[in-house]
Amino acid sequence: MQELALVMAGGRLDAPEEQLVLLVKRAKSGDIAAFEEILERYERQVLGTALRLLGRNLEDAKDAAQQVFLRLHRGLRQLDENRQFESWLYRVTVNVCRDMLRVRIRKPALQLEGTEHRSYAPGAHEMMVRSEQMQLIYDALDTLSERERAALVLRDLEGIATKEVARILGTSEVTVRCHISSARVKIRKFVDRQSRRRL
Amino acid sequence: MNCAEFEERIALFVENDLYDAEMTAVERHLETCTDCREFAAGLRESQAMLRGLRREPLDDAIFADVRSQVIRRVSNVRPAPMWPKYAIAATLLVMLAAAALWRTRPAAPVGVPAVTATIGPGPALSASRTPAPVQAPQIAKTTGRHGRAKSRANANVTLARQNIRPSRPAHPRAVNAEPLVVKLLTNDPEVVIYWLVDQNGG
Repeated sequence: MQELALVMAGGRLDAPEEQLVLLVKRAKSGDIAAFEEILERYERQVLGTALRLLGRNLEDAKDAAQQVFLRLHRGLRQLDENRQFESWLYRVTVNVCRDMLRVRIRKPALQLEGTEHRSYAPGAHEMMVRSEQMQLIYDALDTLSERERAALVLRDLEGIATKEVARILGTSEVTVRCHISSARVKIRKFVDRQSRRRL
Repeated sequence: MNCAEFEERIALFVENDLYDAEMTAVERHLETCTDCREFAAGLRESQAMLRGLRREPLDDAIFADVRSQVIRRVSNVRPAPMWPKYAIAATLLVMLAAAALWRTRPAAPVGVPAVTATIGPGPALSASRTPAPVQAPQIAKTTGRHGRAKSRANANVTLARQNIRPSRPAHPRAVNAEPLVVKLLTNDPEVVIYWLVDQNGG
């Protein structure tokens, strides 16, 4: 899991904290270029998390990401650049997605079709299998409760430690472990059921 | 503990999310339970599929689109202008200065009888001016004077001291301050303008 966490964190761990502090300070003083640099640094985190929380609906995920960054811009003056910026961003992302899930009527997720697997360029069969698996997992994620899904996405897909997930979601570590374990069991059972149907 | 109760522990076990003591307990159970071993194998498989979402590629154009939208909206947001703060501060200063002047003003003359006077040119315009030009000492000088204006007067002005006293004076010295009523008679007999002058500068 540790290895996964490091891989998932990607380039974010390489970026010095001091550089981020400086960027936030510049953005606070109205430097749009600095704010854009923050966007570039965190857009994958925010959009990816939103996509997984909202169920592969790219347009909604883009809306959510925009809202998150606009909230960031509005809250820049109150933001303590020395505190954990990523956690704050995750928390806002989860909150924005939760609000969107509560008010929206889901649109069909057609937008991702054209962008799939470009970076792999695998064979056609492999591509099809991978696409089916992804859809299966997205369908499985849809069976989870809002809290289970958030805990699972942050822990298993973003690679955040359970304690930090609890902090982001504003709950206890025990609760997060409960949500994560029940979510994993539900997904495993859903995948199992679907696989049997196909046979 | 039966197998159903082990399910959620196994779900944490497969990702090393259990504490050491719990790990040992699950390992021991898995050694003896075939069903739970199968369940654990299935969990590892579904977890691997789940992690596959991490590699879901997203086109750079999608990020560029989000970024440009945000930057466009953020660029339109200008910081709140500072001038209202300065305007409020300036207004407060003026009010404070006016209050200070009010307290330090000279006492108004007491017991001045009712006076009337005729003021020369442009009374219609004078009616709309601030009452500052009409000072209490000047009124005293004009006491008892009547007459018409030499130049083209288009209105007669009557100054009269009225016995109007404020019921609750704002300041002890204001007790003696009586308002001066300026009556402007225009060429139209049906139009009479009354101009109430506060001699205390208010």
